[in-house]
Amino acid sequence: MTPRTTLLVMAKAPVPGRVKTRLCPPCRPEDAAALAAAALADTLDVVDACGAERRILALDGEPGEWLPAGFEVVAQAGDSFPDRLAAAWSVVDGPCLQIGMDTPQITPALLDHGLDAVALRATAALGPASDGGWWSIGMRHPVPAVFAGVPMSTEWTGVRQVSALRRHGLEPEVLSELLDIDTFDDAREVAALIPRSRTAAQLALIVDRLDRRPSSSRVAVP
Amino acid sequence: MTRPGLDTLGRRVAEKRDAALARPAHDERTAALLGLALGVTFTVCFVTGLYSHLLQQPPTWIAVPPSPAGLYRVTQGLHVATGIASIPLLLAKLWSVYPRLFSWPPFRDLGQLVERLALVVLVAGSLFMLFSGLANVERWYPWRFFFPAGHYWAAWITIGALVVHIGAKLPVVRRVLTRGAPETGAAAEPGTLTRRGFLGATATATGLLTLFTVGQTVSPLRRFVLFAPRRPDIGPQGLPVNATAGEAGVLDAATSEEYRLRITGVVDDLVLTRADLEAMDRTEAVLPIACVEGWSASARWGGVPVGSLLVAAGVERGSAVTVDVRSLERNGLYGQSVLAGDQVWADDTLLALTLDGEELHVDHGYPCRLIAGNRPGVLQTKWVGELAVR
Repeated sequence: MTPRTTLLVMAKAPVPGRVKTRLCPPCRPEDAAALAAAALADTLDVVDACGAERRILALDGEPGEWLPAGFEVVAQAGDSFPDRLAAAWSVVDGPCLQIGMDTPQITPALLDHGLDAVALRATAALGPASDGGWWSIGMRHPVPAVFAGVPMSTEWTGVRQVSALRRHGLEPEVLSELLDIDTFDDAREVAALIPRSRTAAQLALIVDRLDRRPSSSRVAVP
Repeated sequence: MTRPGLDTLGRRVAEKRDAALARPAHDERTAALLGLALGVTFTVCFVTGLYSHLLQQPPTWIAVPPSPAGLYRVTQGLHVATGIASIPLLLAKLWSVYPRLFSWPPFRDLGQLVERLALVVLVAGSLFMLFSGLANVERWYPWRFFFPAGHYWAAWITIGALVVHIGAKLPVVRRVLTRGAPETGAAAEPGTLTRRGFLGATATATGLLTLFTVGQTVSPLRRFVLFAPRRPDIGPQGLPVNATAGEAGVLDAATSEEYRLRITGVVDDLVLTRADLEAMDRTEAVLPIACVEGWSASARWGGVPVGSLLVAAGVERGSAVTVDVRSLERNGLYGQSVLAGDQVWADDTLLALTLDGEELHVDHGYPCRLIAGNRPGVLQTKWVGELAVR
């Protein structure tokens, strides 16, 4: 019998100035927050459509009306990101795949493939990101300690995380590589992959405003 | 035997000796010319040998630079070539001077005693150096001592005796080789060698021996290689190997699914598969494999710079670290080598995954091997299983 599977999402509430700050400039903080909200909504839609029995949102901030039904919400705890990951994973038991909110181009099939990897084929899974980090990590039997000491957001994060899994006796299956939204160029590239998404629509609004900015900037501001 | 009998024998030996020494092949001028040639080959051989020793047993206060990458190929090629060329030169020299062994009394004063004792050391040392070196090239070890140590220490003894010998003979050399010096010996008797004939024969033998062996280093002369144990283009992927994976006892470990490269020491340990290495940013470098035995061949290697792996493990780029490169081969003398100083961070110090664009053959070190510039082949560690950083 296939054990009960969990899909865990690490997310920040889309509050201006607290999310996607690397998009500014060219974005204003409000734009970045709107884009983050769109990406989070797209992500949660896909998670809703995948085959996981349990869906958990580990949230930094307050939930809003953007939260769909069917998600358990737990508050993130800890100072560093590795600590927050460890805390989020400590509420999970059984096979679990964890993602973030920077890859709205995921599909239910991609998530199901990752869930199957940890439920059926391997003791762990890791989805590498194009920048050297990772967009998803999975474990058959969660070991929160695998995040300790792994620096986040470096070009070697993926290699370090894979090594940490192996040091804990887990052998990850490598999932598809995805681009995660870090910079404005990343956002354009990801939006092009999912033209009918909220992410793409929100980005179009931002691009439109940026294109009109030269004329509006001629208006004197006191 | 009675005393008068001994005297008669002594007189007859002295006559024979003096007659021989009067011939051009045995006279001082011939001996001096051969001595000069040997002085050159021995000096080059000694200096290049010291360099090779320095690379293999680096003192802590020096880190040999990784460039020029082909330097060791040149120095070690010279070492073996001058050693081999010394063989006919030494035999000719010994034949030229052997009548002098029969001088009586054996010495006239303390100085001459020292000089003649040094000669025993010089001749024995030279024969030992050339024989042991040649046997090592042929990978024949008819002795119980550790070749590098024996060859190294005997080299110091021999070169010391050579310095004494040159000091003793320099006046003779100057006298007989000064321009316009009077001919000392007689003209060659009919049926015996002239000096030109003898030296010409020696030079020809030396030249041909060099031509038939030096192709193991100098690729355009490759097709003339007759006596060298290896042609540098014969082996898996067109490159020779000294020890196969089977001989090293690593075939199973090197081809196992369980293979992992570990980066350990003062870092956050990395545990990587060959697939992980393949997924990293790779570079290519054209570097020679230059064996201490004299053969060398250049190849195009592709792999991950050791520096990148250290940075991935958390080492600050350019910091002063030493890396022990450990092979899966546990028992061999060369199962480990050391990277120090600039060798660690050079762009072309690689863990190689490919050879001339193909996946590395297991006899060349699959899953990965060290390849770096200006480094003896025995230190280009194969089947690397661990990089220990300190």
